Amino acid sequence: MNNQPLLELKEVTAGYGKMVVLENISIKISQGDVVTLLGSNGVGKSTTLKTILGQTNIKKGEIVYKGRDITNLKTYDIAALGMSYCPEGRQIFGNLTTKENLISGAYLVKGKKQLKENLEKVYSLFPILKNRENQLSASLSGGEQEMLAMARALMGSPDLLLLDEPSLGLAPKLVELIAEIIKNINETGVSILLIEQNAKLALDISNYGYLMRKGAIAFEGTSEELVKTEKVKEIYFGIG
Amino acid sequence: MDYFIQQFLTSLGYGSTLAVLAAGYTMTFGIIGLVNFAHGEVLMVGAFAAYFVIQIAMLPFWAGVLAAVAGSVIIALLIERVAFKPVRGVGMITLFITSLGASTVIKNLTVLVFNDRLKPFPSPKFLEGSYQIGNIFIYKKIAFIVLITILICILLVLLVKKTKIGIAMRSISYNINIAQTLGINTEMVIIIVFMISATLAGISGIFWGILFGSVQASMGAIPVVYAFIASILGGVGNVLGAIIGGYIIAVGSSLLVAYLPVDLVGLKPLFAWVIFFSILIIKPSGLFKANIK
Amino acid sequence: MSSHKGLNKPIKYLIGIVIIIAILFLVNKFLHGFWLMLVLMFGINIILAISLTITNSWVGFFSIGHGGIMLAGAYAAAFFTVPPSLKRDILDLHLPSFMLNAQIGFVPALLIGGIFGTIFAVFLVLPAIRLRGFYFCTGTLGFNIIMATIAENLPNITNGAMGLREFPQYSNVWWVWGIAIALIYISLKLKKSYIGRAFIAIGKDQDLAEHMGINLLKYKIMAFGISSFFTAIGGVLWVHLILNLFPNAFGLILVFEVVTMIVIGGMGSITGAVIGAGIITFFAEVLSPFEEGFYFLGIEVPSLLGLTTVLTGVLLISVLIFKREGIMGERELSIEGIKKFFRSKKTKNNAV
Repeated sequence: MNNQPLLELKEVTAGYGKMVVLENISIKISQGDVVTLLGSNGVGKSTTLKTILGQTNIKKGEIVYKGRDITNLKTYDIAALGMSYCPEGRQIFGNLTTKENLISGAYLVKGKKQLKENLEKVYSLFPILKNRENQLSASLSGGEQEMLAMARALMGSPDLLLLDEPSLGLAPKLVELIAEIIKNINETGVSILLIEQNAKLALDISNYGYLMRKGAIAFEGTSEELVKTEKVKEIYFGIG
Repeated sequence: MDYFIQQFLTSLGYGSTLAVLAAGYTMTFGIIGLVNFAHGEVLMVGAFAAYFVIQIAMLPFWAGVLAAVAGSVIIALLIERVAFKPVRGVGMITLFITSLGASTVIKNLTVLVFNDRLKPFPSPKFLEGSYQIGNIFIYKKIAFIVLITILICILLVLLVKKTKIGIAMRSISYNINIAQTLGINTEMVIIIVFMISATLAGISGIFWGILFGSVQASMGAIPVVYAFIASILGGVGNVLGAIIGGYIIAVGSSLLVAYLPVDLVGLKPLFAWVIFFSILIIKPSGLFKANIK
Repeated sequence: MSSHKGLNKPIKYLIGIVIIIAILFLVNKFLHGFWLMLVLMFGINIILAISLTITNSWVGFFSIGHGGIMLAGAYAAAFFTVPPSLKRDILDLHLPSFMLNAQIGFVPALLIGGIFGTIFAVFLVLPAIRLRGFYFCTGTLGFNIIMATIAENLPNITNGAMGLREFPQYSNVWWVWGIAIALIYISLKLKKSYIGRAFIAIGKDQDLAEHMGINLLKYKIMAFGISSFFTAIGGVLWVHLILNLFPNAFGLILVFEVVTMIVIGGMGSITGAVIGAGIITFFAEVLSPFEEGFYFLGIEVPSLLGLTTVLTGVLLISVLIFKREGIMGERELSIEGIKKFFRSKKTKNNAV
């Protein structure tokens, strides 16, 4: 077991085209962590995830994953290294059935047997998806679509899961369920980088957090520290 | 009644030509939204390649088929590199204009070098003749072409619905960025779609040669428009829909003409345009499920 | 001093008009054959290119139906200007007798052609105007094919594929360039006017324009109307220059050439349209002997049919890849622009 972090962003400055959104971001995620990015809307949280995935224009700094420099890699090559993404707003493939969505998540999985195993694994985590197997995913409810998006992201057996706003628009009961599921996923060994508007939820299930403000890291610490800190309450609920 | 059936059966030949062309067309249209005006020239280059191999080099027919596929794929990839890749991301209209430019250059370059006269395209001996049932003739050529088309249809539908790459194609057409995050090498899949589309165009070119007994530099100009209309008719990105659309256009215009007075026969091309405008007014998403948002 | 400035403008205009008239007079007197044809085609292409700019570049509706519009206008005028001896006696066309017996002058012919072409265009394009992007585009492509097919299949009215001939030679430097210059002036003024800016606003962001209170339908029809009117007039000028008219007269090659003109020149710019028209006209006319083949010093240069179009296509693709905005982009020629251009050249030289 080495001390090298699973994922590290070293002073990354990035954005879209000529526009700069992130300034000098440094983030570290160790194996087994659940790390959360906090901050109000528009502060660059989603952009951070997209940057890790290689979908933005990185101007400075580097990103290292499993000891490899992935700064200039294409998105699909990064995914092949064991990283997956559950985007904000579900973004499932509405033109495919539930099962087809899951198969798309298993694009890199080799062998029919392994595919079947992974399928059964996610069905045990999200039993309702099995009932909707052959239904067109566009007709699923909001909560079911969120579960599908997460399940799809797990089909590739990732080591690192990037989760963007899983609780957005979901009823409180569902939010609890999702929180449980995220904890379960982490227990199976998947590290998680989480973005969550719901600060309480986020700090409940994560062990470390970064508070972002205007494209930069304003504050970081363990979840216990963050919960107690005035700064979090102030920056988060203050100007917003 | 016999007349109707005969007209119907005969028109299935051209219908198959359009169906196969439209199937390829709708695939590129569906996956990256590309309205490729140069697809007609992909057909033409394939047909010409077969012409050279069979008629000039006197090689057997199957060699001509291989040449057609090779020729179409090569020209399609060339067009993609030169006319599409440099302007990707700029906008659909620009892509359309460059495809118009590419079409013009290739077509007129061919006219320049080979002139626009009809060149004889020999069909294999085993396709000559017909079967007769009562007063109706089933031409071997047409039966052959229709059978091949049905086979292609089945293969394509299986590809798109059942295979992993088919799912990859459909997910790219819905949301290319998310598809990439799943590890799908979108660039490679798009190239594969291009190649399948070109192969289908080459086959369509062979069908044309067999049916009409000749090829010509400007042969691609009209079919490409019909392929576009068939794609819209069938729902953009829907392969089966495009195939059915191709048949509707060919069979419909043949039947229409069969029942019009002789001097109005020249209005045949208008059928497809009536269909085009009707569909856009009545059901713009196409008769069947479109494959994109 | 301000009254001094106030006096200059009308005088400038007067001097300008006198100069233009003088040039046209000289051109008319001294140019013949190849050069005259070149100048006249240039003028007609300017009219076509500017008309296309209004719909395609300003309002953003990519129409490629100008061939069909020209055909409609040309036939409409032809029904009145082709001599009765041909229409009535030789061809026995089934037209109303006032048309068969008429042989009108150019002004009414232009107006009839222009109006008829506009009516046809607006009528057919209107249902398509709700369509997006390339569905609209293909619809206009269909318009070309539909018009040509109709013209070819009504031999009792249009003489079908045999076409019409014996047109009076009405198009000359005065008419062609008079209209071209008038259109340049009108369109430049239009661009700065409220209407023109409304057109461009619709082109940039339709929804935003609507929110700003611009009645989309009204302005789209207006843009199409103006554009089709002059395009149809272009068709009338054309047939009274070439002196024959066939259903396939304004086919895809011509349509494509006009599109190339506005792309090369810069989509949105009137100056660009003029420049683009000039370049393509020059190419087409210079290369046309090569297309037909000719004898050079006793050696036969073979017919290179399609050469012009190939080069036009290559030019189009090159512009789109290397300098997408074209020569002028959306800008117009202006005194400050020219001064800036030379100033930047000077500083470059000085820096060296």
